[in-house]
Amino acid sequence: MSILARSELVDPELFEAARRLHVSARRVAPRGRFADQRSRDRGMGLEFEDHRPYAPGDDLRAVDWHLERRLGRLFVRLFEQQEDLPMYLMPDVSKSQFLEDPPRGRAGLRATVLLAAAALFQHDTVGVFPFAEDLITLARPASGRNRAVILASRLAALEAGGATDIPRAVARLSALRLRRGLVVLVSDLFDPRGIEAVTESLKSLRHRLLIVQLTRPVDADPGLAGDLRLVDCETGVEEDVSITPAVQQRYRETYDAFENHIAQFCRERGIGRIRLDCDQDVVSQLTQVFESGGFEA
Amino acid sequence: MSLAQFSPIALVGGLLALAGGLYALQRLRVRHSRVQVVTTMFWKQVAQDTYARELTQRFRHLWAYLLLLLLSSLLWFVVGGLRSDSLPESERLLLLDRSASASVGDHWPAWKRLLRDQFLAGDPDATTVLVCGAAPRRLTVPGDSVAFLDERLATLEPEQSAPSVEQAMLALLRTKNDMRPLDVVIVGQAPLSQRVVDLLPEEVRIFRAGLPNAVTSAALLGMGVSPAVSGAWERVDLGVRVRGGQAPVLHLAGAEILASKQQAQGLYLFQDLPAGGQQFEIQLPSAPAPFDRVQGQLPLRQPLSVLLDPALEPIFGGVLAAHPGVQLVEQDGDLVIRLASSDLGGGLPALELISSDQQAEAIFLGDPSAAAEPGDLALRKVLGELALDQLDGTGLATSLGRPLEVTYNQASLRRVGIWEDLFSIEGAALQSSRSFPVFVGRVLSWLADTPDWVHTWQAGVPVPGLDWIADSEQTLAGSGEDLAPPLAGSISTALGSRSVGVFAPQGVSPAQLPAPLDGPSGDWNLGTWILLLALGLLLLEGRLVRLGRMP
Repeated sequence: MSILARSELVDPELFEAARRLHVSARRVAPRGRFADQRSRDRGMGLEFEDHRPYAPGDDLRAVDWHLERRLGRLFVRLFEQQEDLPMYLMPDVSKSQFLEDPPRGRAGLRATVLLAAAALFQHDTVGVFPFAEDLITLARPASGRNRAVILASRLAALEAGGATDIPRAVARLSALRLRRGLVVLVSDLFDPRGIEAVTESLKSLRHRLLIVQLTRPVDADPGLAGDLRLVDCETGVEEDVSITPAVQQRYRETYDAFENHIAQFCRERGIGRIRLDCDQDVVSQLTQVFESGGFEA
Repeated sequence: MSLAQFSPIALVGGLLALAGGLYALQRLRVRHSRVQVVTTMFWKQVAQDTYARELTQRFRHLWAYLLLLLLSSLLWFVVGGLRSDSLPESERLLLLDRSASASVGDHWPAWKRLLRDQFLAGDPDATTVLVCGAAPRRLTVPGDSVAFLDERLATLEPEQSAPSVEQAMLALLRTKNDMRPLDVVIVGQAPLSQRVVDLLPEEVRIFRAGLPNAVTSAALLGMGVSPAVSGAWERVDLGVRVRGGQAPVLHLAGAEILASKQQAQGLYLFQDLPAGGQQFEIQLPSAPAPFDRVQGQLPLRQPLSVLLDPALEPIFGGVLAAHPGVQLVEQDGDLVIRLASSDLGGGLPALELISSDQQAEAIFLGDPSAAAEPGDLALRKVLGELALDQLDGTGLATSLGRPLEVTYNQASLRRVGIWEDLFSIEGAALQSSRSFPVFVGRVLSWLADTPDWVHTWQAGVPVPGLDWIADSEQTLAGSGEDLAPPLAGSISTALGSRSVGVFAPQGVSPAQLPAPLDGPSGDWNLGTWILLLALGLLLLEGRLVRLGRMP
C-alpha cells in the first residue's frame, strides 16, 4: 500500500513552483555533462577564465590572436565549462514519517519532488534514494525535464519502511561511488542512535550536503503530561516517564541541544540546512527560502 | 473496642506498617497511559535524569492513598478480631441438656440443632453455652463463633446422668454480679424446680427450647420403698411412678412380679416384698432406653435387740412383745430401756425414765450429731421422727399440773430421758395413750439410729455415706456428705458393686416456660460489617480506577 496518494506528489502546483526555483552550485565537479552549473572544467562556456600557452592539438579557434600580436607568442583562451549539478535526494520514508496526521512524510516527499523538479528543469541530473533502515535506489541519477513526473509517481508508490538508520543509509550511498554532487537529506533526523551518530556518519560524505529538516512545533514542546508509557512507533521500545513540569523543562533542554548540535554541525561544515514546518505549506516555505537569494549549495 | 487476636501495641504497629507500606507503594505507583510517539530518543535521555518511580518525588495521590489506607486498616481490624468492649445490652446463656433424656430417640441431634439455632439467633458476643450432663461444663464463651460451637458439639454425646441444669443455674446465681438482663434458654427436658426459679433475680428470664418432645414418651419416673402397709416388720412395699399407660414389671429373685395395685394415675405398688436386702429390677417395657429399667436393693430389716430393766416390765413389756421388730435379750443388746438410776446396758443408747427432780425438762433428747445449740427446725424434725407430736402434750401437762418441756441437745450417745411421773398419772398415764406403741417403736428406731434405706442408687442423687463406702477411684459428683454417683451404670463400693440407675425427669416444671424469641442472626457481628464496608470501598476503588479518577 502506497504511503501517499499519487495526486499528493504529482501535483502541478509543485512543478510550477519548481520552475521558479534555481539551485546552483558554487562549483560542480569536473567531467560532468554540459549544463547550467559552473564547473572547474575549462571548455566552451561563455565566461572567460584564463590564458595558457598554446600546445599542439589545441583548437585554433581558441588562440588569442590579439595577444600573439602583442607578445609574439601563441596563447589560447580558456573558458569556464558549464556542467550539470548531480543531485542525490535522500527522503526519509521510515515509519515515523507516517505516524501523525498529516504525516510529516507528506511534507518531506513533496519537498523532495519540488527540489527534484527544480533541478531537472535546470538540466541537472537527479537521483532519488529513499531510506528507512536501508537505502533504496528509486531512481539512478539522470536528467530530463520529464523525469520529474516519473520520480513523483515512483515516490508516491513507495511503502513506509521500518526504523530510521541514517548512518547505514549514508554509508550505502557512499558505497555507490556516485559523481560528486549535492546530497539532499530530507528527514526529521530522529535516529534511535542519536544525532551524534548521524552527524558523524554525514562527515564521511564526499558530496556537498543539504539537510532539509522536517520539524513540527510539537517536537520542541510535545504537550504531554502525567504518567505515560511512550512507545516508539519505529522500534516499539517503551519508555515509562512521569511527566512533570520539571521533566517537560528537561525535555525542552534536550531538544534544544539536539537542534543546536545540528546547527553547529552545519555551520562548521558549511552545510546547507532548511527547516521545514510540516504543518505548513511546503511549497511556500521552500519558495521563500529560494527567493530570498536563491540557494547555493 | 478491642482486638481478640492482637495486643494494642501489635495493632498500632501493624497500622503504622500498613500506612508506611502503602505510602511507599503510593510513591512508586505509576499507572502509565500508552502513547505512541515519533521517537523516544529525547524521552530516554530525560528519563535517565528523572526517574518516574522516585520515593522522594512529590506525593501525588493523597486521596487514593487515604482510601487504600482506610481499606487496609479495616481489613487489619478484621484480622485482629475487632470487637466491641461495651457490654451487650443483654446476655444469653444456653443450657444444653446432656443428661440421659438426651439419649432417648432422636432427642440429641434435635437438641443440638436447636442449640445451634438459638446460638445463631442471638449475638455471639453475648452468648455463653453450657452443656449440662453429670456436671455443667462450659462449651463456648462470648465471642466464640458458630464454627467453634459446631466443632465442640460434634464430639459430644449424651451422658447417662441426671440433668445438671439446676446446678448450672445456682452457679450462675453465685457468679452473676451485674444487673444486665440475662436470658437463659434451656435446650432439652431438664427440669427446673420452682425453688430455683424463685431464687433467680428479676433480670433473669428463662426460656425452654425443645419442650414438645419432652412429655410424650413413656418412662420410669421414680421409685420408693416404705414399711409394708400390712404392718409386717420384715416386709416392705415398693412404689413405682411411671409415665405412660403400661404397668411396670418387677424382677426379683428370678421371679417376674406384676404390680399388685395402682394407687393413682402412674403410681404402681408392689406390696409385702421381703425386706431381705435382695437385688431387684423394675422394667417398663413400653419405655425407651434408658428410662425403661432401673435396678435397686430391698432393705434389710433385722429385729432390734433390746435390754429391758425388769422394773419397767409392766410399762414396756407388752408393747415390746407386740413389736415385730424387737427382740428382748438379757445381754448384748443394741439398746436399753431402764430407770435412770439403773446401770443396766451401760454404754448403750438408752430410753431412761428419770425423776423430775433430776431432769428439769419433761423429755430430754440427746444426740451426738446434734449441733451445740440446735435450732427449732432440728427440734421439730426430731419430734416428728419420735412421734412426740402425736402425744397429747396438753392433756399430760394438765393432768400433771406442770408445763412439759422438751429439750434436744448434744450428747455422747443417743438418749431419751423422760419423767417417771408421766407414766404414773392416774387415768392419764402415758402408757395408756393410743399412740404409745408408736412412740415406743419410733424411740427405739431413733435410738438404734438405723441408717436410711438406700433402695436404689440414682445418678445425680446423693447417697448417704457414699464418701466412705465408695471406691476411692470413683469420681463422685457433689461435695461433703451430698456425694452422688455421677453416671448411670455401676459403682464399686465397700458394700460391693451397686447398679446406678437414672430416672426420667418428672415433668419439666415449670411447664409454662416460654419458647425463646428469635433474635437477629449472630452471623452479622462487627467483623462482618467491617468486611462489608471494606468490600464496598474496594468496589468504589475499582470504579474510580475504571473511570480514571484514581491512578
